[in-house]
Amino acid sequence: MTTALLLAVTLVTVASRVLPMTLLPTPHGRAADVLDALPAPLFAALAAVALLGGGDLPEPPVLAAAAGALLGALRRSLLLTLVCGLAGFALADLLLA
Amino acid sequence: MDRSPRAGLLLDALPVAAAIGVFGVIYGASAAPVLGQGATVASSVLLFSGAAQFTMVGLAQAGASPEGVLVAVAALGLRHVPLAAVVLPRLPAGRGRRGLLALVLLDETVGLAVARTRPAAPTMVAVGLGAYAAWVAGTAAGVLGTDLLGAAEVAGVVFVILFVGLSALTCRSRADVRRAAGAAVLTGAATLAAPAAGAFAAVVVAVACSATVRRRREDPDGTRTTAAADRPGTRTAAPAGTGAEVRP
Repeated sequence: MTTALLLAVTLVTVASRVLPMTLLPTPHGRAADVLDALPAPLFAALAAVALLGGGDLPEPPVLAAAAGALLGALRRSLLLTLVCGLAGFALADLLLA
Repeated sequence: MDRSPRAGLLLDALPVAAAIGVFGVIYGASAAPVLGQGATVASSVLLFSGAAQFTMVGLAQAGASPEGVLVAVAALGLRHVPLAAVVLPRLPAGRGRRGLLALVLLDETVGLAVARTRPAAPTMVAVGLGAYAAWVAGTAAGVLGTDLLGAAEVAGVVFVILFVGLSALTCRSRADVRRAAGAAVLTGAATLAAPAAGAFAAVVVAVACSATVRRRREDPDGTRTTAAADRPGTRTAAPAGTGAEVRP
């Protein structure tokens, strides 16, 4: 890994963030509706990738973590979501160990 | 800003920083033997992208060409396009300001910016800076050999938890819940069938699911995120009745 490659990767990564933020037009009409509805399914899909990205079904403690996170999310608190998710993971890991 | 929104912002930023810090330790410990200690920390300072950095290290370890590394990182960067498209209506106009906010364009900053009724730009900055500090500090700790008890085991689950939480926080109606559930199922099936599809499949499926949304009407008070954003220098208002109030 050379310095030049690291700088090139930096440029690509920064550009991938800055260009859409500065060049994308503000959406209107139907596009605005679709984009407004995008976050929930997008994060749910990313959660599925995080769960199954290895190509195998997840271990029970990981499923318990996801279930705990869903319970914590009912209070609309990200901190509580993290705590409940980790608690679910730890409890399942302990019970199944 | 009064105290309650500040407290809410802090309570949102902390779990993100904690999760990213844990991953930073993992990255630092795994990348240092491949890149060297200095380059590992420098990569976190410069890139601030776990996906790109882990990919870069993996490819470097596998002996990939520099061109291959750049193409892979560029492909990962495409994910920023829908993130930017989602958050832009909630940001003030001005390319300069948006360009600066782009430096903290992450899944987590966008998720919290759209899930809460507080102004999106300060949310992105506060959560993003906290995440950045945690990422660099975690990387440095990993490089120095810090071995958080069970960090590796926990690291595999924290982003599942975060994404589940962000999805739930950005649901504002039962229809949103149905679209999110559908996206999770479809993406899960696609990922099991073709693991390499990964984040690309997630974006395609999510856009397809969100395209089923019914056309929204103007709220009685006239707030609508995109309409307000057309006017220069105007901050956008969150959609009325979202129920996404700040709560510690």
